[in-house]
Amino acid sequence: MKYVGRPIPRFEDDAILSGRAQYVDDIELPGMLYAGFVRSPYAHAKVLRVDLTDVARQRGVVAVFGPREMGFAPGGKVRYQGEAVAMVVASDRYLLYDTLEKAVVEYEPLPAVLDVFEALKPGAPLVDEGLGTNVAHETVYEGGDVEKAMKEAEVMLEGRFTIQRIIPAAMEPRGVVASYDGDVLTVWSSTQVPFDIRKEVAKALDLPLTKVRVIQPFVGSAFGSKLLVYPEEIWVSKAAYLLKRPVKWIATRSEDFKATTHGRALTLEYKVGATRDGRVLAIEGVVYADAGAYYWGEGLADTAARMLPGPYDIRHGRIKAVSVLTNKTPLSAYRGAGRPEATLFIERIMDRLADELGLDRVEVRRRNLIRQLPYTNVFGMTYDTGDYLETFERGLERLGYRQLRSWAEEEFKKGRLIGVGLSVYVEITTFGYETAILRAERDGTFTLYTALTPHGQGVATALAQVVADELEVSIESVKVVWGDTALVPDGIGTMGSRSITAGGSAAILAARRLKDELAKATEKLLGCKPEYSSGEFKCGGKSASVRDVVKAVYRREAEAQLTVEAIYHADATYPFGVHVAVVEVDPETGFVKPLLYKSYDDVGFVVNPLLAAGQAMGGALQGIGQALYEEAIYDEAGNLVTANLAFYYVPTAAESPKYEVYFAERPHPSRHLTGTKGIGEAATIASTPAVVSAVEDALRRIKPGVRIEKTPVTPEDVWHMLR
Amino acid sequence: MYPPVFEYVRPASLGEALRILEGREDAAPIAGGQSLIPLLKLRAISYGLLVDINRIPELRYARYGEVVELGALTRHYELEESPCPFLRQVAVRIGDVQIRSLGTLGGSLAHADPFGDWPAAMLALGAVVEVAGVAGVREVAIDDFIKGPYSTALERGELIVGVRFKCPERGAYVKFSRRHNDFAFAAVAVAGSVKDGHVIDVRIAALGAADRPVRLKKAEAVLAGAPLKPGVVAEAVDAARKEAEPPFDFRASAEYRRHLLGVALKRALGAL
Amino acid sequence: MRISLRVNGVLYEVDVEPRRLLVHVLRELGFTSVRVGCDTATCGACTVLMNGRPVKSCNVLAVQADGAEIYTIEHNDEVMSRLKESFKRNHAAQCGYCTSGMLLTSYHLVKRGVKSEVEIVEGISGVLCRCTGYQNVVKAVKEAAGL
Repeated sequence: MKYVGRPIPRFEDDAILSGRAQYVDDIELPGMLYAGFVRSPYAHAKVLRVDLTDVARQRGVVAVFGPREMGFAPGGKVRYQGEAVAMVVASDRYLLYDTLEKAVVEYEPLPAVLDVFEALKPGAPLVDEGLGTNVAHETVYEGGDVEKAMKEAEVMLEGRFTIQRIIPAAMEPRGVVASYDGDVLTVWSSTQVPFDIRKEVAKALDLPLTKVRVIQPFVGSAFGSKLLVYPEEIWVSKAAYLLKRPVKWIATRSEDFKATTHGRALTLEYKVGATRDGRVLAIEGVVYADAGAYYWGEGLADTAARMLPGPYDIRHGRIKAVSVLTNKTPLSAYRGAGRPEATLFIERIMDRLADELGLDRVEVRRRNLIRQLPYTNVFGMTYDTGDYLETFERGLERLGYRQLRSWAEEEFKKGRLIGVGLSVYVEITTFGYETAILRAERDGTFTLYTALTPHGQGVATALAQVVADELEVSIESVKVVWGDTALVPDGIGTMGSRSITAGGSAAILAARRLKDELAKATEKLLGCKPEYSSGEFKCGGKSASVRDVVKAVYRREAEAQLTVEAIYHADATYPFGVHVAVVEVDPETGFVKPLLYKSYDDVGFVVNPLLAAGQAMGGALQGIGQALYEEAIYDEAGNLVTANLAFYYVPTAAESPKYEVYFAERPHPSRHLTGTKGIGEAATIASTPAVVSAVEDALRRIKPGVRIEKTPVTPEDVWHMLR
Repeated sequence: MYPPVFEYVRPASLGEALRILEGREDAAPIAGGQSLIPLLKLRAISYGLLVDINRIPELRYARYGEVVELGALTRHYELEESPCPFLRQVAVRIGDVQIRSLGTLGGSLAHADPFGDWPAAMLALGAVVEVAGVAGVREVAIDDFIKGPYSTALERGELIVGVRFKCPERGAYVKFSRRHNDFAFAAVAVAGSVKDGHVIDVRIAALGAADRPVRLKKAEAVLAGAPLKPGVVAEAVDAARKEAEPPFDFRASAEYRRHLLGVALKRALGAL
Repeated sequence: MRISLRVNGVLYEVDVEPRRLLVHVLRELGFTSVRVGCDTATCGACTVLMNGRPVKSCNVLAVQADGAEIYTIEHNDEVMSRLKESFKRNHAAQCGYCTSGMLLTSYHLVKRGVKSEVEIVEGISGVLCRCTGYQNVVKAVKEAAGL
């Protein structure tokens, strides 16, 4: 009976496929009211007057809240298009949207600043006057002796690479339901962080934690865009608390595109010094983040800076990370959050170095890959386990990289323009603590309460596998419950590819403690020190099942904790892998079709290859979307032009390539109890550089020297490059 | 999103529908609703009265003879399996299966989206649009029907009854869009016939060549009676690029659209 | 306006304002498996079968559907059940938000005897999925269609 490592279909699917999975908008309570927001059409404006008197008189309107009541438009101004200035609560959603149009708001438009480099110029409009600058945060990361190394360098590369703004576009827009029964305020939210919401709502309403319960229902994906406590979560909670009526807010898609954080939007200016045989000696530069109107996405530029050396042994470096305010939707995490950017930057640099030196793209990587793990990179990140060179070579073999290249060559002779690209990455996953509570039930089954907050990954199934193995019981006898702060005191949640490593290790710890507890009770019951095996305690020729022991405790025949808690602290671990992308370019039109995507990852132990492959494929398409399709576009006035799913190109099934997913045959486990490293973001991190590299590879067949220095690579870009 | 308030009637006959439309300044017809409803939801437009014409039998017909006659309520999906091959090529490039279930030929022409697939196809076919009003029925050549972006020859209170055209001996529709079947960057519809390697009666219509679907008449002139050979095709492509005045937006520049139009024309001619 | 809808074989009569969208009426009837993911009729999460054809129920006025036969994923006939099993076996759902749309467009494909992978890809291209990369959905439909 061993579940870990097997492709077990998900328990979660039963609720989804039956149609009974409950997302936040499916929660309807008696007396429900509906909240909506009046949002700024301007990117930057003083709010002179908000007059809701006419709104308050409209049919169905129950309450209106202006800037004074809720703290909208702090400092008397709005900083991005879509920032809230007023809130209306009504008895019906259709009536609500009728009334929202009737709010009178007087604005005095201010000049908007939309570009990072404009924002840094002296005299640029200030997004936050109080700050006195548009630089929200700046840190220099440094190691080695950059000046000396640059002097020794035989080859110097200088350049800039720009990564676009991405709209995470989780298929379920954000939404909140809050209900106050006079004692407890219950909040349901489409979120990754119920525990954080609980803390923030309690603080905002001056309530003890015991009076706030936050429930995470089924969540229609998030990709990091639901890991902040959003103002709407506070405002809706406050409205429900004040009105003593349940209040629901569900963002419309167009609203969500502006009111939910965006991702990526980093630019790197770099200088790289290398030897003539392709060894990178030093890297120097600046990572700029287009942070948007509020500095919510702390550390994105910083993560990108610190991970910039990637899996390569670069001993000298100095990177400044600068987060710059602009009049756009705030920037925050999007699947990978800093690592995809770092990987795209360094992989582009590696490709460029190979090209400048006339080296093979594989060879230049081979020469620079870190030889010995653990390894502390020049900015102090300690990569834990792995054998990068061996995994790289085996990966290329397994993915058939050479064969794909020859095939592309053959196809070119037949008139098809195929490109093959590769990328290598090391990423950082896992941080903080996670909580698990395990309960032995009367019938010998177990309930695991996790603080993780899965939203599509299949975490509950994977946790059941881990716990079933630890307890040596059937997986059907382990029920996993998540998403309720009333059931687990605290935790962090599902993000940063940490779930199974942190939360799974917590579950193992809890299972071990529960076995110990039950063993103590059994000792009293049987009169000897028992051994545990497959749900049974045995000693001295006697035995007792878990069921017997639990019943004995209820009958006062023995004493034990039937519910145990474990808090597991999980330090960072570092997955590594090599990915290959194949694209076809139509040289006449510039259109690029992703044909094939292949991944080879060393993510430590794989708990469930079926689910892990799901993460790899879906993650890859998101990175492909970044490489070729998606971009949040603002016009000169700061209007979001790609304002809904009709204008923002989320790839459809027809844009998707075929995928082949492989995991290292000889993985290097993390030091955590699960031995896992995380698979949630690996393919998103690796796919963008692999695809960009593939496009460049194709273009170079007909136009040598072409170089791609931004994402997305649009058909029009390709056409320009080929002209 | 949530549409604003409107009244709704569902007349059972064409006459009744026309009388209602004539009587109300703020009335609009709704057929498949696939373009209209999103605009209502985004509150980009509003009407006092929607006249649901979906159940009017006079607007539902498909006759394939020497002349093809299609009622305004012909759904896109019905043309995916049309006996006229050119219509099949166009139908499958419209939106997605769900949109094609409801969207109608008449609705597409009346909406006159600058990137509408049917307006381009009907231009290439030289279709005649049959239009009914309380005063009676009139016929409008498709070239006179499309007046501008979202603008047609329909007078207030009039409805499209259907269209009439000859199924072309040869036809091709080439469309370039960012995502599968999304609105076109550029598209070219060609209809005509080829006799002894020479192009006859060719009509070419394009999306992305102007602020509305338009004929590429200079390219047509190059091809008229000419042999379908690379040199002629290249000349037609040149002519098309010269006569086009493409719009630009965040999706594509005018210059790029102009280029794509040429490629689309070349490929369409190659597929004839 | 009073309308009748036959949803998964059961007749409902409801009074609706003309402006109410079919998706909202279905959800109010308890069919919350029909989901709203956008406001431009792009995402397909609200797909239902209306008189045998997939439609986006956010893009249909409920009054237009008067008298229609509607199927949601709760219409568990043999084909739907087969699809659901195949979706589970092949991990074709992740967050589940688009899954109803995927199941119903797939149901339509299987019912009309889909013959190739290309047809499947085209047939589900009106449903956006942000999680799966689509391959497992295509695989699940292929299996259910016996391809």
